[in-house]
Amino acid sequence: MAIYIVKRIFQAIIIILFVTCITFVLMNLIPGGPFLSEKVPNAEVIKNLELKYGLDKPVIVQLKNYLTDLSHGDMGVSYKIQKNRKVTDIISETFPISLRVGMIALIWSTLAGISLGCVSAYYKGSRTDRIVNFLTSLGTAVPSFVFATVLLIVFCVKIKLFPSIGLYSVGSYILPCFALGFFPMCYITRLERASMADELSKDYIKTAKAKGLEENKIIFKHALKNAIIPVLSYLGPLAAGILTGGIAVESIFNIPGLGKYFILSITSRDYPLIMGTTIFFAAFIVAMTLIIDIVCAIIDPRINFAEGSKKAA
Amino acid sequence: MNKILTFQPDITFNKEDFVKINNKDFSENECFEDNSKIPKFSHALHILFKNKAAAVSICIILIIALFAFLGPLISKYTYFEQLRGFENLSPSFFHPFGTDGLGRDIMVRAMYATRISILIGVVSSVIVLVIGTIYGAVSGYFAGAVDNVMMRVADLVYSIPDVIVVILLSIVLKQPLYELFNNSQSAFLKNFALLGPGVIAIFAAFALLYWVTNARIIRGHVLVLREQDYITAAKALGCGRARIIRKHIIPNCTSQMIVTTCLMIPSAIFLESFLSFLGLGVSAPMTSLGSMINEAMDGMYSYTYRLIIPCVILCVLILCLNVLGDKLRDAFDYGQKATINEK
Repeated sequence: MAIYIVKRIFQAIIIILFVTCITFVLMNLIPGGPFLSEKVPNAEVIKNLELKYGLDKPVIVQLKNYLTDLSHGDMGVSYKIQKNRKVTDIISETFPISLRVGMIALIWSTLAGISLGCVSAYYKGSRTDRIVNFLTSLGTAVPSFVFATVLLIVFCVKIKLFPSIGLYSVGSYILPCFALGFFPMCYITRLERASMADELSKDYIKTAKAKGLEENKIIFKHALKNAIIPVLSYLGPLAAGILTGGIAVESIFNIPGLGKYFILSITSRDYPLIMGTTIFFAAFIVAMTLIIDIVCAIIDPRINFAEGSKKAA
Repeated sequence: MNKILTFQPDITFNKEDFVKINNKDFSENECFEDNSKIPKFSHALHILFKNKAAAVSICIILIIALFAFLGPLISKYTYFEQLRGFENLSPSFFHPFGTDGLGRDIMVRAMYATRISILIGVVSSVIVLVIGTIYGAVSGYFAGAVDNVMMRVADLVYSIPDVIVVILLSIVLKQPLYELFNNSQSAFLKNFALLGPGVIAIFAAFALLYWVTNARIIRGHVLVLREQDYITAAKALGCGRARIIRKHIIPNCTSQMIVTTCLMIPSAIFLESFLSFLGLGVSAPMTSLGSMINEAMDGMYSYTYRLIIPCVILCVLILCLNVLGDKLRDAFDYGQKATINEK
């Protein structure tokens, strides 16, 4: 068990390092630098700027410098979007906003998904099941940005029920969180329905029924415990999906979160900010997956530690 | 010795000609289905067509494909032609979906957009199929240490946050590819210039990141196949490894290949529309469903239908492809539960 956890942490660190290096090298492959604009500055000015930010050195040296700084928690300063402001400051200011919206979406989608999935598996074949099944297969075909725009039109433009811009009141959280969590909710429902139906048909449930256990106890104490594991292991990719889906949803609802800065930094080629946001996103996703995998391993004793992750199965 | 090795029999053996002697047990991770259970190809198709949902979705996919590939031939407008004086028309007989702010017929643009989205979906899936199948087959066939190393690499690639890397790639590749296409003499590359570098970046991202799921599924199946008697027979007859993989292993993975590809197409369309929506995918004046939605966002208060049209096409297309993929999997009695949508 301990070996497994250490192995997974080691793997996670390798991935983050790998992503950092790839991002760095890729960005330096782009022709043109961050200081080129329509109004071309003096060659002397560019030279001095490059000297200031250390861009005159070879890529390898720059990478080495960056990695050393990163190990001290320093991600450099933004060149363009918020000039000379620390990247870590920008991230720590904008990420909580993304995180709040993302967490609400994650929680409601998981809870709703699991309960809907259980209901639909319990009443398998009934009308409720068929309706849920139909709606969720419809839901898994709608990208979150399409759903967000539709919500925006219906509830902000036509009905004028919620504010369409920013996050100033509780009401303005409802639409982005709903839009962000809708696709995962449908997906989790389908996942939970399949695994719950599978569990309910197993022998131990029959035994429990035969010895006269209450339905409630059978479902919540026996079946759910096993049926929840696929959903749990999906939480890692789900967190990643919500985070990246947030990029589009944030730009639709004009939320000043990290996703918006990610796109902004890329289009204006603000190297340190691109690096910072990419590494931060990557590290967050990898960390989430790591935590979920470890939690799964603790909860589910059937996971084979020697094989590495259970995802392959 | 050499003579024996190159000996080729003129009778071909079927699976039924061999008696199964090797009843080795596999752990659940290694083996998720008994090879003998795989229904014959035509039988699977029969099951598929008997299913109402599958039949309906095939019909809808065909209609959308006709709309996308035949429509532009019939229509007298093109996706880039600007009809001066006919800007911002509402839907009418001549322009069923109206025209946009630059006087371009939206229906033709929707046709082209659907065509591009379908093409991107299919091409990316084929890329993933080729890479994933070869990787999975080699890894599964050699097993042991080779398999171990190859699967750890796959694990690593699987954990890379995909959308982030795709966005980065599409930004980074834009400029160099653009120059390459515009400076090149060959007509083949010039055609790519029309699609824009964003599309190539999507293909590159699929080739780099998305083959893992496919490779894992194929590998799992190959681990079962390699213990089969006809592989032993092929070895005994002196087939080389490459020949066994090419002639015996890969053809026996056909059902897995079809199912994974079919499930990969909607997720590729999904990703492409997401990127185009952010303005990183197909470059103007060419259009895709995602970029049409992006364009329509500007006028969504006054021209809501412009937003609804590409959204509906996109959702219906993805829905039908999803349903078809699921039913195909059922039809092939495909035990593997993992879906590609996760990735």
